[in-house]
Amino acid sequence: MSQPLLEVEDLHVRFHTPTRVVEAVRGVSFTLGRERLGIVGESGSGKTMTGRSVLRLVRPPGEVTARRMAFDGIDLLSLSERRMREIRGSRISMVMQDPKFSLNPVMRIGPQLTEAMRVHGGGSRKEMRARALAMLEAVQIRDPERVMRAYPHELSGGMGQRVMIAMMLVPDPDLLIADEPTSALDVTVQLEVLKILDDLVASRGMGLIFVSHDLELVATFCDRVLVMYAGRIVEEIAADRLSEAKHPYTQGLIDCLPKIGEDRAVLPTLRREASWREEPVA
Amino acid sequence: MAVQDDHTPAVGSRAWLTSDRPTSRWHARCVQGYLAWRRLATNWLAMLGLIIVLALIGMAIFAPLLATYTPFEQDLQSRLLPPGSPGHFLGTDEFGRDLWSRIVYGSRITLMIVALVAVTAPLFGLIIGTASGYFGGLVDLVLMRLTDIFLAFPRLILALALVAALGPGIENAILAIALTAWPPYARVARAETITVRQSDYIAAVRLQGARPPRIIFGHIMPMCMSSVIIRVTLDMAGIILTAAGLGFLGLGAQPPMPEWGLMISSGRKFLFDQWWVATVPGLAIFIVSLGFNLLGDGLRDVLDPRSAPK
Amino acid sequence: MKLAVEDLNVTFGSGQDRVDAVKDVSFGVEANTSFGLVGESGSGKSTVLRAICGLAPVASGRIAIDGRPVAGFRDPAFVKQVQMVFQDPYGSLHPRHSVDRTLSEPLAIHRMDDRHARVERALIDDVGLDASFRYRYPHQLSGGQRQRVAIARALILEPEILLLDEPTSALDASVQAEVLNLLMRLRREHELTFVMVSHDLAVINHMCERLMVMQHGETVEELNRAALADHAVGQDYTRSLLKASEGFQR
Repeated sequence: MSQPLLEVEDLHVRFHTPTRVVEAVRGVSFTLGRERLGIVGESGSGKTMTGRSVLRLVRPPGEVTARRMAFDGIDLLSLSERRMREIRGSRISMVMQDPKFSLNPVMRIGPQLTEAMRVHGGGSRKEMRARALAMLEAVQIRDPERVMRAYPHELSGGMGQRVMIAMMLVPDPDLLIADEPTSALDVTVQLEVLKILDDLVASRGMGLIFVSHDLELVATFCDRVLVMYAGRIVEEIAADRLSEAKHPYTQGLIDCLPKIGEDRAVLPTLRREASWREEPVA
Repeated sequence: MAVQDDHTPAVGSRAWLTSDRPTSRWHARCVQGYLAWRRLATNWLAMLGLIIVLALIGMAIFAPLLATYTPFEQDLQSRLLPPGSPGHFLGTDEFGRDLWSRIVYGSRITLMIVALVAVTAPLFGLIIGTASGYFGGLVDLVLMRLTDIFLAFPRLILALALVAALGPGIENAILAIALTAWPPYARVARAETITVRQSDYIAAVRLQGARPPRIIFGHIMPMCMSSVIIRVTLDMAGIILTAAGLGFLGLGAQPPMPEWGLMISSGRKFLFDQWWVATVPGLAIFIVSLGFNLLGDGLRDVLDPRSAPK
Repeated sequence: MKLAVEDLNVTFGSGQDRVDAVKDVSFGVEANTSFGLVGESGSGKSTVLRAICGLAPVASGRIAIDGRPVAGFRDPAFVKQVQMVFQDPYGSLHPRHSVDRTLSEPLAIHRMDDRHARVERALIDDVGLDASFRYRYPHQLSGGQRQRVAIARALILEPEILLLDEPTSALDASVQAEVLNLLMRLRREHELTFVMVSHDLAVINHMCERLMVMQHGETVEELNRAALADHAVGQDYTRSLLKASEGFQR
């Protein structure tokens, strides 16, 4: 078996505040090949922190520790910040939730795209511009010239997110971490953007970590799903076998969603057991 | 968030002050106040500023106890004694008046200036600004042009005009400062109001049938308060310096009042040989201004809603 | 008909900046029923709710409650008849007011008596929060708790019609289920009429007997729950919304 793309063992993320220590992630372990892995959890589950830890984007007072965190065999924990910067963006990329907040509002799209290129390699201005246009076409933007000249606020949510994806894929990374990439989008636009992401991930043989609160969406999009609760993984399951989920939290999450065609007057609600915080993963 | 270490004490007054289950409005306000105090207390510079401000207030209240002489008694035998002289640890001025005592009594004047301006100008500016921002349209137009007019007045010129009209004196200096200090508060309040006005909680209270006065005073002003309080503390330094400047020019306090600016003015004749006569009050002004600035910076870090916990 | 909306038009701005947010929308809601407005962003669904309250300017059209045309939130009688629960639990409660203040204020505005008891009833009996929440501030509450307070606030004036603007969109799935159950119970207990807006077809289907799909400010079609369940929809847009609610398909 070839080396996994990402190996995480016993990841802990702690925040040290004057009065107490807050543990956002408590002993998370998983491996990732060139596949689509979904990390699902509600707010406070630690899913976002897990994604950010891989890129070492957690700043003090946050503290990241793990027994092992390796990307393509490279130990991420012991890397200097300079070396990490070389990996960040070029080999591991991140797409975040709202393009309004992740695109620079005072720069046009074109310069933002070419800046991404300049940082990771470059080439002549003509080459970079041609690549930028090609990337925009790859994310199915029909009028790439116009978008290059536009400012972020002039684009719709879906288009902004596609630009984000284009920007993050420019350096041709091996691993993409997507943190709620479609949560801010309309439901029909969501599916379009996901289709584009799906095609790109498949055609480039990339690994994808898809962090989301939407279990159903993740289950239909990813190959494997990790369910997180209170900083720990409570279930790891193949996406197409979600209905066979064993942990009561996962079952509860599935059951509590309203569905069209059902006839339940009262939705089942989660009764959170204290034991879910502590017991080992099944 | 997941399990964490918990240091909350079980019983006692600290438990009451950090309780997350307040039992009354008063209790809830105390808890919020205490938590804000704790956050402020972690900033040692802000604490230094607070100590200086409290020292000023203490000095003003206990002036008769702290001073060694009255501020007016002259002793021409002991003119221009340097600091460290027996009986006059900060020295004496050209009339033999003890500098320490004059500083101490002068703190009362400084405090009076600061208090009067701090109470009147921001309040007036707040009312104008929130009304302007909330009603918009013609009201906004008129009030903002009024604000612009007052903003255009340089304080010194206005002070001169008032002195010419009403005669010199500390009260007129305060009036001049207050009249030129309110416009920035109006602008800040207006900007905050325009942002706050769009919020759902304002829509909700309008939908309950609240009238504009209730909305402005009860809902909008509390949101502007942080910015205003921070601005006031940071402005204090400027106000003190302006009053001192007016005193220096002879437009504010009149001799023999121990107002610090006036003391610098009369001391400048002796600046080279008996430097302490002008420098001691100058240092006092510097320390107090610094104190207010440090406190203001610290308050901003604590009160700024942007840095408040969500 | 408890609430009747006829040929409603809402326009913002003028000239070049003119936006026709709602175009010729009509629907009726019977008493004690729940009516849903479904659409994506820009569909005008939230604007319709705001127009009913008077928070958005009505360019033309008629809105009537119990057959009588409404006057908007400036009329004290209207305000005691219609209330709204807003979308963002983080934005709909005043950050500097405790829960007690937020709930007492409407009572103070209308000079109602027995305030202490009413607030307690709203907090404990209606929305199921215990007394310890009374003097807390919004930043000390979770999203679900804030939304409960917002619901309590909407109910404290004892309205007949409750407008719900995406009340659970910002909440976690498990908390959403609790809040939806709460709303169902309250509708039964207080005999309320709901008009609910959401982008989530499944939520609307669960809560509402009838619904209307909107797009770009216009009505696409009106359906009832049974039709949705059978996928018996007339318009392509509705079909695409239904399909989207099933998740990603490769």
